Amino acid sequence: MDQYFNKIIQQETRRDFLKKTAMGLGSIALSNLINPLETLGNARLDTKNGVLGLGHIPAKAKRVIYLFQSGGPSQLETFDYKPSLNKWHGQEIPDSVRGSQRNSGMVASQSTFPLVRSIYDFKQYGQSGAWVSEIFPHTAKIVDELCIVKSMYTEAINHEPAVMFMQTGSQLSGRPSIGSWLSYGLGSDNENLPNFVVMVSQGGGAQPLNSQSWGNGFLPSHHQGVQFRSGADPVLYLNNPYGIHKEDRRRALDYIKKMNEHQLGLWGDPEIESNINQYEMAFRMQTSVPDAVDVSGEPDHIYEMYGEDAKKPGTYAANCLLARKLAEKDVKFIQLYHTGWDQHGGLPSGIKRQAQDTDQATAALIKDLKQRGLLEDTLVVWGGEFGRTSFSQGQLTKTNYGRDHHPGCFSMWMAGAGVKPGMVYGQTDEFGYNVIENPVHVHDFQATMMHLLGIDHERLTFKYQGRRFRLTDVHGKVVKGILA
Amino acid sequence: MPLAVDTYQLRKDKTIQQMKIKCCLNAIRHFLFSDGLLKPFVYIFQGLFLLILIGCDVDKPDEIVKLEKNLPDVIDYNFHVKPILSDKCFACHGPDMASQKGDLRLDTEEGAYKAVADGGSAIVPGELKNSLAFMRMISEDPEIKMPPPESHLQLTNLEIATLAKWIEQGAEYKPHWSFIPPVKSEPPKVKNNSKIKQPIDNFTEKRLEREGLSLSEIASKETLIRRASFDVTGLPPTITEIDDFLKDDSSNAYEKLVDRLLGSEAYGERMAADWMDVARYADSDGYLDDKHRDFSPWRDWVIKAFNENMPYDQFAIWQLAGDLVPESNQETKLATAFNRLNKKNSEAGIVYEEYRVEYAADRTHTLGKAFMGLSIECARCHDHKYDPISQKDYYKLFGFFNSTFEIGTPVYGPDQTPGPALLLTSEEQQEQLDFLHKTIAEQEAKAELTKTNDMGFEQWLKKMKLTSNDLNKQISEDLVAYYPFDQFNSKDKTESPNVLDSSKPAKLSQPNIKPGKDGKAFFVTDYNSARLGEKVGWYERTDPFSFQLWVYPDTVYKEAAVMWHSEDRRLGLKGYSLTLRDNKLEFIMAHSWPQNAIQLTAKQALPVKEWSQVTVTYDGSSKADGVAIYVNGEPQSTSTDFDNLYKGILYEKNIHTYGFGGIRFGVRTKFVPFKNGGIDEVKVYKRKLTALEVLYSYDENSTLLLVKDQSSESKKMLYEYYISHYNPDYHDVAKKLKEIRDKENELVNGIQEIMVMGDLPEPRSTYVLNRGVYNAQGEQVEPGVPESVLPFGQSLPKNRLGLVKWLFDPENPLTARVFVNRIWQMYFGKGIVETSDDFGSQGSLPSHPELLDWLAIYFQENGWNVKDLHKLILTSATYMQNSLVTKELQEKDPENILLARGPRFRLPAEMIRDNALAISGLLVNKIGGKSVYPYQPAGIWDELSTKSWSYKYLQESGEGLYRRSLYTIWKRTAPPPSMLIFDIADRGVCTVRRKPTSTPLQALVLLNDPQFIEAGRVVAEHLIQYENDTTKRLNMAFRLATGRFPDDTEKNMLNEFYKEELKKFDKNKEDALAFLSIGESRWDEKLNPSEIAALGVVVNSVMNTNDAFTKN
Repeated sequence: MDQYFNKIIQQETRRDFLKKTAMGLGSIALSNLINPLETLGNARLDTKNGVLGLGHIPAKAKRVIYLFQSGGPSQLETFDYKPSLNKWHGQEIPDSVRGSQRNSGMVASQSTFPLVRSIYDFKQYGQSGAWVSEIFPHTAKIVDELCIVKSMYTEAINHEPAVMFMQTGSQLSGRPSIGSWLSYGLGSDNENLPNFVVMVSQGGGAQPLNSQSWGNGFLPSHHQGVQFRSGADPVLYLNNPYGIHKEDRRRALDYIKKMNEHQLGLWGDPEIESNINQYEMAFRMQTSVPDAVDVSGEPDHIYEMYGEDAKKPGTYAANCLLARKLAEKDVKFIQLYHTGWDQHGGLPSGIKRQAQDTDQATAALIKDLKQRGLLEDTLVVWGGEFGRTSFSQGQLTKTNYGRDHHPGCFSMWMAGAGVKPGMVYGQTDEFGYNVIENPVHVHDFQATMMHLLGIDHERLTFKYQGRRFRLTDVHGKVVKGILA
Repeated sequence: MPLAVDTYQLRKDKTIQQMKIKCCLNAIRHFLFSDGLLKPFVYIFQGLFLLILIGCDVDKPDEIVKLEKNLPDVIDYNFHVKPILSDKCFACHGPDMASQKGDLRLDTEEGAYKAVADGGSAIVPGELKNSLAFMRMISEDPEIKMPPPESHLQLTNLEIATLAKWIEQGAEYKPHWSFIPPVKSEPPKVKNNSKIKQPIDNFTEKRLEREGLSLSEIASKETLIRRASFDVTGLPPTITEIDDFLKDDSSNAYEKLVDRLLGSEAYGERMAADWMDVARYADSDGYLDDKHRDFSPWRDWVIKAFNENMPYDQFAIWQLAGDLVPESNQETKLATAFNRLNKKNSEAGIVYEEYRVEYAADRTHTLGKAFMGLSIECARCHDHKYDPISQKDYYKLFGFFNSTFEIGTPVYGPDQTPGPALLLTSEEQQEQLDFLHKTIAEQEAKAELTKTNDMGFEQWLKKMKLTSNDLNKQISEDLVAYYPFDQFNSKDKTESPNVLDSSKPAKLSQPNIKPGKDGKAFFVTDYNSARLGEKVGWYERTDPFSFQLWVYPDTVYKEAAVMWHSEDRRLGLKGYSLTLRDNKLEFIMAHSWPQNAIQLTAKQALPVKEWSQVTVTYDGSSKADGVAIYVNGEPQSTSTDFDNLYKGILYEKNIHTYGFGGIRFGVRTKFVPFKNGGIDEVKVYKRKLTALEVLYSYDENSTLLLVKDQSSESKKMLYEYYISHYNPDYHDVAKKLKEIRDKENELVNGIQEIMVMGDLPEPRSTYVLNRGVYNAQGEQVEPGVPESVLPFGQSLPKNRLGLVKWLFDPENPLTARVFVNRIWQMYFGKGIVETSDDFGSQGSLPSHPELLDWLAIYFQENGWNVKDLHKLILTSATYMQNSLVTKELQEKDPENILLARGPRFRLPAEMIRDNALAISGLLVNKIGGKSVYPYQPAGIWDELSTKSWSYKYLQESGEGLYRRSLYTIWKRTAPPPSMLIFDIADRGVCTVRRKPTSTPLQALVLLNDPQFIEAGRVVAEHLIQYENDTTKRLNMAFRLATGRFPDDTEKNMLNEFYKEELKKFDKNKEDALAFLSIGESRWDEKLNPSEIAALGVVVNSVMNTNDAFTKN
């Protein structure tokens, strides 16, 4: 094959040519000339501004707070009111309704599938008159701020694949998560804090999480979600060692900088410059992160609003309060994970407990953002990875039942920047089993979220192993109907 | 590129003046489409239209013409054209048949040249103006333009100019470069020979000559020894090693160094760390539950294989097909654990087959990436968009991995392994086992002899007057439990007595009691269940036992759990269980079903809506033929499905398992209930009942008649009965047998198992799976390969053994290239093909194609000798040159593609930590063993899971803190954060290339992680103990951290820095003490704490400079 290789392009000529032509390629490295693909594949990374700079389209939202309710909250006990289930209660779900939708391996052995109504009452609230379950008294009061989507559907039926699908657009782990994509695309508005912050509520005993849900996948690792943790070290390795105070660290860093600058002189390697910057950024983070997570200055009325739990670090409520603080500091993507919505059995008591742990703080966050004017440019998202079956998993008794995973429909809501407040979008059938109006696929939801942030989801791509990947794979439509 | 009808209809009225097509396109279009009613005419006019279009004289746009003089004289398909077509056109006009638009493909000559439906061709060699593809590239009409605007892909003018010139030159197609077998060429002659040390250098120097560059000077000896030590062993050189090397003036000093490094055991560890990324090595399953699984024996094997310099072909063949190779043994099978390192899902709701398919797919992708350098996975759901790998090809490859004897169950009980599993028997254990097996065989033979030689039988037979009383007595002596289900506690009927032991009643939930075979019986509903008393039926595989029950099937059940004394299916059905499958009785006794189990199925189905008496007897032999199934006293003809039980079947409760629940009936996880089925008269016996007794228990009278008639059949039954009750030796032999079997069971249970490969006796059928969905079976395919790479030899077996023979066929164009490229990548930071994971159309082209081929052939011809390959590279001037980044080089080649300087990049994650451990002397140099738990910030695992069974990160004390990083426990859902921060692969899938980044989090790790603080402090202590002079201490500290002497500027900085630190700690003793308390190792209290702390801070700080964490 010599003959093929011998005909390699004449580099000099091509480089000269590229210098002369204004093709907008900027400084092209030799490597890119050897392989034209490289230049035209992934845009050069600019951590501050992201690859898109200002984005493709005018952005309505500057940041996102995503309250991920892991486990799959039942739509039927929360937002998707189905009075018709009263008359079907206890009866077998008709085959025509179940259709060919797959069930999980957990009910595969069940020989009867009795429909079950919500044990909790619903009422209409606010000007919009949206129906909300009695387990969400606080959310009910802010319903006019919400855009409730009842017609979500997904493709995955088990937890991890479904969480991954929601967060990365692929059921298999290893792809970049939404926050990583945004960090890659939009960069940071606050140089002293990570672009993408993750907080996990503590306690429970629920389905575990996989840290790859906030992984960077094939994107450079500085786009991975940085977990803010309750406790002394809010970010891993953030605290100085014992005996080293801030001024000591500064002094040492000055010497490190001097030595690095000297090494730069010795080797001429620009990578050393990048190291110097990273050390300075690390130093800034050591101050900015503790500041950002310090809620000691919050007044009493704020704690009253978020609830007593907000004083206990690591709770969902405390994380909601922190989310507001990080939004104030312009963190681009703030993701909370709250587990425990997986009620296969004992749903009535289980979901009530979940609601009690989350309802007040969720509503408080919306109110708090609003009173600070932040809701205008912050998108808040509430939702899980799939819905739950209209039929009972396990035995249906007067006081007890369960529901299995159900990808066919589920409810989420969005609030704030760019979405219509006081809206209910999409409908499911009288069983709350199939979407019958305005279906919203997970990729549609992702496309919409990106749209609100000013990104055309088809155009934010990253080339990896020869293929241009994007969050929405080859699918996804912006849900225009919910845009304000 | 046909101008399809619908495109025209959608077309808006736009001018195409800029196209400079000197014909009346607009007019024609207007004529055709001003009236939507003209649709039928479109077809007629289209041909005419195209003829006019083609006939038009085409000018190349000025901006294209301007670029022409900058193009190479000869445009090459592989190097110039294909990258453009592949990136911009193949998505719609490439190998993927399903998404081909306009019936056009541009990846083949035939496709591109052929006449399109309406006349004309996309590409007409030598005739640019007749090439429709070109016309559309230069169009500015969005309806015509290619690629279409909605694709968000654009051709640059340079790309268009390249394509135009290629068409003008004849549009010659060639096979993809990497699919053409490498050809060995003579290393090229270079102008300046003085720098050449190895043939490698001829290639690199020659390439540099073209740029007016040359290889850099050889690096300093200090740099060389540190560079080579990290590259070969992953560890820094010691000061003594550096000094010795600096002193060694012999001409072969460097070669000796290389030989020493390649001969060290650390070499195997360094290579293994790299291979662990390829193998997606982890200590846990992945997915949410992320159960832990010990694969360290495989890792130990990899280290050993590298250290023994196992040829690469053998190394790979054993890992892919070590169970099938002729020399197959424990070691070759252990190597195949490589294939089972995929992620495994143990969520309760999974469909096993879905994940079995996922695992086979993962193995296929790993084969592609690790050995073939191809992103095979792209063809899972559709034909590959860029490479000539069809979806069918994908499933042909998948077929090689589709016959593994596994069913997708996670089987995560504490001592369980989802099969195929390999017992990792030590030599000593093997000796013991051999002895025990021999003894068991002897005893079994003895038992046989006892039977056949028994002269007493005829005498007994003559005298025998067998009565009901005798039989009743003998049977009831060994009856240990009897549940007639006739009486219940009065209140809620949730208890029913065991008539033999009042302390062990059956517990019923939601009892459904109806008339039964005899009195009342338990009937199954959707949700109810029954559980016999504590430890009733608690038998090991060495225990002979029997059980009997009356069963009433209400209908024909596809599958229904009748009775079980076992774990759930996802825990491998450990125990024994009786199931109805199409109403046929299926008996399973398992340690880890299906591989480590016996399974028999009766040929006759049970009648519907009738009571049948079912008896199962077992002799304690762990063999299928030790089991007998009887219905209504009659032995049933059975088929043996599995017969390979070799580990214990008792299942204690454990946090990961549900554990012992007694013999149960009713609703069962993952089984459809035996709904409306009845169960009655349940009996458990502590021995194997004889056929006579079973018959008797069904029908006393006919048994007694049989006893009297003494036909040959009845004599046979009587003989069995006689042996079991009247032969004087039999019981002794049986007792002895049980003892030895118990010993064997105990021994085997203690032997670790590991997941390996092993195929079903009959291969599973493989189908194309539509959209990649596990149950959407399409066309059936045979195992095979993408023929475009290399045809699969006719004589090769269609299994993994055939696959590896194909892979290592000298004609295979990929295997050697892919491996040498990765070795090159280890040294230079990037491969000759930068996309070491993709040698396909979308991958990058080789920077030094002839060198890649030369190395590939050298490697093959040299017997795939890995160490030789290393040595060749290590002793080349290309490797040995210094890495100074001059202004000229930075401008011309910032990424050092052409290798005008030596490699310089941040150390990989493992080496960053191992370096700190090594220079402090904390490193524990022990090869192999289970993974360890070094320092890790508290709570990382707990934050992700608070399940009762969640795993705890139990940080070790002592040795475990200081092992090399490749031994650090790898939990897939929460990998070691400090390693992730330094860009280690996440081990979810095969990875052959890490993506280095530079982030502030890395700075935080190096500045604050106790591991590094402790190491720095220990370095300081050693220096203080070893050296009195501060300046010397500082110099030494610097040398330890960076491998070189500080220059004067640096010496001054260090001195100044140290003084300030000492001042600080002298002033604040508490701070010094606090600083010294970090880490588990105690500081030497005889020393001055301020001095240690001050020096420690300096050492840590030097470790935070670029030279310390960079391979230079």
